[in-house]
Amino acid sequence: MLSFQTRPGKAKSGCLGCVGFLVVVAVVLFILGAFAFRIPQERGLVSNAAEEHLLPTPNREASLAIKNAAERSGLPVAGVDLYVLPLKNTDESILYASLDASSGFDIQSVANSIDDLAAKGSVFLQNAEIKKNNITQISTEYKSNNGSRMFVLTASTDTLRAAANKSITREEFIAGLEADANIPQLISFIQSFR
Amino acid sequence: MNIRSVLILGIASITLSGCSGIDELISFAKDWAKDKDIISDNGMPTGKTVSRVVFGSSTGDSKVDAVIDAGYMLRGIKQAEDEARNANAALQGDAYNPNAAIGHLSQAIDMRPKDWHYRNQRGALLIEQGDPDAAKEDFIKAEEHCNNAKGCLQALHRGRSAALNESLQRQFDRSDADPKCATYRSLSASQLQLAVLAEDPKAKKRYRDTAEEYDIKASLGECL
Repeated sequence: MLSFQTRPGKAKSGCLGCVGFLVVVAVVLFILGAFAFRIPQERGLVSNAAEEHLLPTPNREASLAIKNAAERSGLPVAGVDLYVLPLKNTDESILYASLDASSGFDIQSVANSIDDLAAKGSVFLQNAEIKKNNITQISTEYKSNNGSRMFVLTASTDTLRAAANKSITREEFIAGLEADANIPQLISFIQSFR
Repeated sequence: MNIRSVLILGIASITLSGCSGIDELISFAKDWAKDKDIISDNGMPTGKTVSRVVFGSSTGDSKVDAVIDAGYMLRGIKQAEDEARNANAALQGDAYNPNAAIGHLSQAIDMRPKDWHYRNQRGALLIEQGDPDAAKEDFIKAEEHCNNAKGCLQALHRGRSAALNESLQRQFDRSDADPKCATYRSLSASQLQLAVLAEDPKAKKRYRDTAEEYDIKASLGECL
């Protein structure tokens, strides 16, 4: 006759509970990690404000004209993509500049000639194409050598013009500047300078 | 970790502010982070830091949020643009392969179904390939994505005219035969739409005159 011995129920559920807890912790860490690396946004798994507020078709004519204007102003264009994106239900557009190190953008040389570039940027902001296309917001994103977005900075065109003309205070400029960053990418970026 | 990220944000913001010097940079970055309630007055991360780092929380202005998120949208646009570039390459010189080009444009449409640009491109190519009915379908769908917005329709018809003119040039370059009449007729239709949408009377007249020229070409029997 066969007989079976079973462990007390309490001990069994304790072990299972421990494994379950670890699984839950792992899942939570995985989800937080995914968000920290902006994976859902990168993969288009979550809807973003851009699709909601911007027309799906960039203004290609204006994008090209503005890229040409930037080049004429002496701003670096290697590894730089410029897009004019019209906003829905208005005649306004935004200008989005993507500075991509993996496509040849050199942030070191930009940092070395920042004063000169700031002066050229001031000239660029006065360009007729910016006014003609009613660009009210300008964004700059920086992508690392592996093509991942590291950070994005944005301010209204008026704020940038005022800052260039020195007609607003430092505090007013700071208040008008917004940013977002991929923190893990940023940390490796900083370490690359060490 | 937070201070480091603030520092690098400062490095980036130097491009906008034109300030220089590492101390000024750090000071600027810290002041920015305080202004946005990311760090407290004593430099410690606030509760908002966690939500911004992990979830990329709203700035409080939906337009600014859209601008910040635009980079994710552009990723899709770039992939579709790669397909459009491949389509263009498939139409150049001896490599001319319109079926491959249509395939690439179809991929771009699948990636960005609401972007009318690729439907304009494919429509022009379908006419070139002798399938004006399929082209018409593409053109109608492209216009639907504008939701009657004037600026969108103007850009769409300018873009369509450019795509049709490129197609016309290819037809002249590649064959001794006359170009397709449907290319001329579609060009005329787009110019007439631009005339309707234009506010300046001179521009209206210019578009109407151009439309008439295409109509004449289509009716002279110099096309197929």
